[in-house]
Amino acid sequence: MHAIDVRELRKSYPKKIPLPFRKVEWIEAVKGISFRVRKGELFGLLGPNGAGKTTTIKILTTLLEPSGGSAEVLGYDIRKDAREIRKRINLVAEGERTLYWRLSAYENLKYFARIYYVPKNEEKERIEQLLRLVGLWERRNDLVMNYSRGMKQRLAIAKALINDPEVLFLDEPTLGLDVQSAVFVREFIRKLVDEQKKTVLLTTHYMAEAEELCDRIAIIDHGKIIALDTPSGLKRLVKGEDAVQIRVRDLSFQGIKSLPWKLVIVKEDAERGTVTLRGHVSEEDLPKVVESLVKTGAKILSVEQKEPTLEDVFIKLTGRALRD
Amino acid sequence: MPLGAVIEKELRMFFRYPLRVFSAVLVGIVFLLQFVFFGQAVLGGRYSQLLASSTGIGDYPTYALIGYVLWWLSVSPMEAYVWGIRRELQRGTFETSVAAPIRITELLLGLALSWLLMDSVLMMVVFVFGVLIFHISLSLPVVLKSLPVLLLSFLSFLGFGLIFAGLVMMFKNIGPFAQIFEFSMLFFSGVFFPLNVMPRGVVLFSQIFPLTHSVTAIRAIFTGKTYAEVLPSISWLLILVLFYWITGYALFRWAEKTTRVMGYGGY
Amino acid sequence: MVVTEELRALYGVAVKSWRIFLSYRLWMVSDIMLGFFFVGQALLIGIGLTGQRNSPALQRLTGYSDYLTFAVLGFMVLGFGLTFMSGFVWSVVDELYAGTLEYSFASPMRRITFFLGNVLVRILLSFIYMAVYVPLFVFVFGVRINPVGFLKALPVLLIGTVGMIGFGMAAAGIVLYLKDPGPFINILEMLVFALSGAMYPVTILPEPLRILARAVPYAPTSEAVRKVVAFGYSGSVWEISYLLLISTLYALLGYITYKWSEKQAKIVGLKSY
Repeated sequence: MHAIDVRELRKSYPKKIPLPFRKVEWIEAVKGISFRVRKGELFGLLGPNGAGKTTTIKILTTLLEPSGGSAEVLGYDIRKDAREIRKRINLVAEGERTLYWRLSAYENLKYFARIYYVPKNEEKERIEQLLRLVGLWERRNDLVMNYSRGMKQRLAIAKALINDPEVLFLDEPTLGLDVQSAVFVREFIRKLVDEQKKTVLLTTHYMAEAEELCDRIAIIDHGKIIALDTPSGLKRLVKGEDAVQIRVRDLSFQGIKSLPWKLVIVKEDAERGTVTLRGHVSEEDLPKVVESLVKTGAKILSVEQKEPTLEDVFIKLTGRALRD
Repeated sequence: MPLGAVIEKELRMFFRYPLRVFSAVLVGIVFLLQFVFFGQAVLGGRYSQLLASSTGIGDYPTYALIGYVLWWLSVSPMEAYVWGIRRELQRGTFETSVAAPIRITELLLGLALSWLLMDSVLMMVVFVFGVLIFHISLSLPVVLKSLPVLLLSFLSFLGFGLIFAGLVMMFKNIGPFAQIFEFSMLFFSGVFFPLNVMPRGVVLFSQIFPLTHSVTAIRAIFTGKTYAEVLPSISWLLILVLFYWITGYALFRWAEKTTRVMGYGGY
Repeated sequence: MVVTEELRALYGVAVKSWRIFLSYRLWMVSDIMLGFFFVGQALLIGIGLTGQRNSPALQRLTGYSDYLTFAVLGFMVLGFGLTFMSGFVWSVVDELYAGTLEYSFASPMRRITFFLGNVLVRILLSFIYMAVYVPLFVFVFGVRINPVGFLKALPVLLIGTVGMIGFGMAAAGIVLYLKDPGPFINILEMLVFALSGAMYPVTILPEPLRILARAVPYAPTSEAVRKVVAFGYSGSVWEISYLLLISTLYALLGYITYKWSEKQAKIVGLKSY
């Protein structure tokens, strides 16, 4: 049995609340995706904003009803056995305001322990253990509104462990965190899988995060999975192709479109007026690329050959950079 | 003109949501109806001999409508400071505006003026509604004659509100107190009932509120009195304008200096 | 086992709402003052207009000559009813705005438990407010409350409560899906306020408003409560039967809307603001 088994899952949102006799347009956010997550695996959904990652998580956590297809979590059907699933999973939703800011960390966890049916005799011990684990025990009685963004996220993770779930869903767990907090969260997630044998499904739009953290990654774009493999397996897709990164000034966007090579913008520095381009260019072609760029009026600042990363995989598969 | 920019911003934010405007008007009307209907149910009609002998105006709906509309306007600048500043403090937009070269007093005045403007529009609607539903007789000369007094009242309300600008900068969360205060004004200034039913001490105390004199003057003008006859109320208003503008401004300056040291944070 | 689990969840929700409410304790003071203002206002208007504590005009309209008792009873029903309407709707909408609603809805707890937990705290609060008001009104304003009549009115109030909760559930269910629920709730509150008959008998309202007032559970509750306090059960059969009918209707309406809303949440998702 897989921890998560998704088959041809679809989800459309109505543009307006569907009332009787009201014609409503529907927007398809997830367009038939399938994947399986093994128990004890750290699985990543990688894709740009609006790719359908959050929708997928909400369906799997039984917050949303799919429009088509099916999915099982821990062998339970998401449509029929929602409550059984909810008892065995938990989630960290995206965003900062998911916990009660007017309650303390301790009071928040007490609330969630109760609504997750944590047995009364385990409640106290569990909360203390979790608060110590995420390093908030000393500040357990402070109101959450006085916490930093990183502390709030650590508390959200503690909350997600309150029912000792078998499967954990994390929606952009490091979004908006400072570097230190992000490192803490990443290491923490990895440890949950390695030491406590939890199954984790996380979404992210950070390439490096997915690459560093996940056992397997599904790249999702416009509601479809366009590739699914281990990080090294994915990178094999671009093996032998040289990734080149070119930093230029005064780039004309018209100019790069007319080039025969696929170059995408991966970074823009408005302050300095520089743009970083990336693409697959063979060694022979490199001088020609540089020449053509200069002809469009761009000033070349640097040209570097890079190890292929997931970014290159995404560029190869979609012709766009992930940030779009 | 920076003052214009502040006013324009506030007005845009308010009128952007028609449903909000509608709900504000409804709040205004419902409150009025509660008390007027109650008074009428108790009286069994609209005319009170007792009210006429103590205030010179015997028609209860007219009496209450004038008092109510003025009460609403008198607390408007106060609300602007309490809620407007608080909102900006919470959203963090206050510091952004303060950091601009515009003077902070100008900023606040703009805020209060725009709220007073919005509330005047609201109250105009409520007033017309009240006139229609309660069949209040009204003549153009009377309305025109009351305008200068109304203008003077606005000036005094703005000064009175300034006190709260200083308070909100210092204590931040004074919303509940402000609300209690607003409602006490209903008692102190004889909005829905004649002041003479209150103890003498309260009547004396209520002289420090501009609203008290404003309602007295405008009610009198509505019953056909001349400016000369309402001179005592007008003189009071003039004195209070001076007093509150000076005190409010000083208090605010002081609060501002304190917050510069303490920081605008706290949210 | 299942029952105790759910009860603990209910307790958890109640404790949470209670604590959050306490964190706004300053507002409690202003809430309580509000009731004081209303009743004080009523007394002073009455005295200022008639010079007396009794009104023959009101007696003819409603059977109450003591206008203050009339207002106090109306105000208490209204205050009680508003805890289900605005208090309840706001508590859900606030959580939606704040973004905390989704975590509660993602837990294995039944969703009705979440709503009931909130309602319980509201009921408790209403009783606390009443416990503050009644002595205050008696001592400060000299309101004459007949304890027997008052106790007799409690079951009637409970019948009305069922309808008022239904009304609140229906409002909450719909409001969750509006783009800008704030002003909509305000409008609803004001309509309830105007049509509640708290300060005046609804008979003095114009015909269309009077029909509307009878169609929502508030005015029927205050009418029945007042009637029972003054004339006992036997004198109020008609009012009580009507209240029973309308309460049942609103309980049904609330339930249906709640079910619909639960389904919508799964199709549309909860909006995050």
